[in-house]
Amino acid sequence: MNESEINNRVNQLMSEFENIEKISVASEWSHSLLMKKISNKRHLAKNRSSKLIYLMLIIFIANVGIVFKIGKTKPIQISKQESKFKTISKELLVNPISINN
Amino acid sequence: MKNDDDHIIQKLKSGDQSAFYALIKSYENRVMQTCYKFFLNKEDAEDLSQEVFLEIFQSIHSFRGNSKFSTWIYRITITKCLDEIKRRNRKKRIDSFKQMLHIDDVTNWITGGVMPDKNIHQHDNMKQILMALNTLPDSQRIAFTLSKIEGYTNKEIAEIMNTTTNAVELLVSRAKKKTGDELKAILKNNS
Repeated sequence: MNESEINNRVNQLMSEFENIEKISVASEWSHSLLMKKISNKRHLAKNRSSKLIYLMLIIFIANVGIVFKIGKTKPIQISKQESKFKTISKELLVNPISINN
Repeated sequence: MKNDDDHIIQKLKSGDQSAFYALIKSYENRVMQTCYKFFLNKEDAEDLSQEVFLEIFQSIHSFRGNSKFSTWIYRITITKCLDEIKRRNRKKRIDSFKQMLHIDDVTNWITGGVMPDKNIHQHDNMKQILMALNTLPDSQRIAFTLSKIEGYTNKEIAEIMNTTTNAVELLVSRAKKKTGDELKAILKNNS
């Protein structure tokens, strides 16, 4: 192929690309798309329910964690309170000698 | 058209089934022609168009009305087409690497399969054009391809590409020159 033949061929290809015939949309295509959409929606619903299950599971685990934490901290608080009472009661003790004086 | 679009958007967001059909009927032609111009293959255009509509349906809640509904739809269409083109180009590179190592031959020999015919549906001319278009940067390819589809004005292409009409004109002329040069190189190699 010489240069002018190549140029002509390029122009021909370019105009072929520009003037490509339109394709028609078949009714089967719309139908299969609607079918796909319905199945997709079911999938989404499944996803939603699984998300809900995960959320409930997280809440449950968090609750269990809180219960454990409370269970662990309670005895310490009680012992702290006890030691507070002890110090207060010690402070309330009055030396009998000081009264006499 | 805008009122129709608003009506479709509202219905889609509220989960109305009939709205999806209305959406398809309003945009199927334009979306299909766009996909076809990017792939030059009817089956590919049909598959991609279906993916586009499913994507629209799934992400309709993210549409906030910052652009026209049609612009948003064509942006999704183009993104899908470009993603698919990139995926295929990646696959082609892997395939050529496999071919170099004769992996397919070994796999076929083991599984007893038959080598598929390559591009059986694609016309030679279209194949050459696609080869030339594949060398264009994304922005040039989008502008050039859309400018060759009936109905797209430079203003609309600029809106889709989020740029100015002058920039679109420049992209189209550069793409036309580069495609021509690439086609010349392809034809010289083949002759």
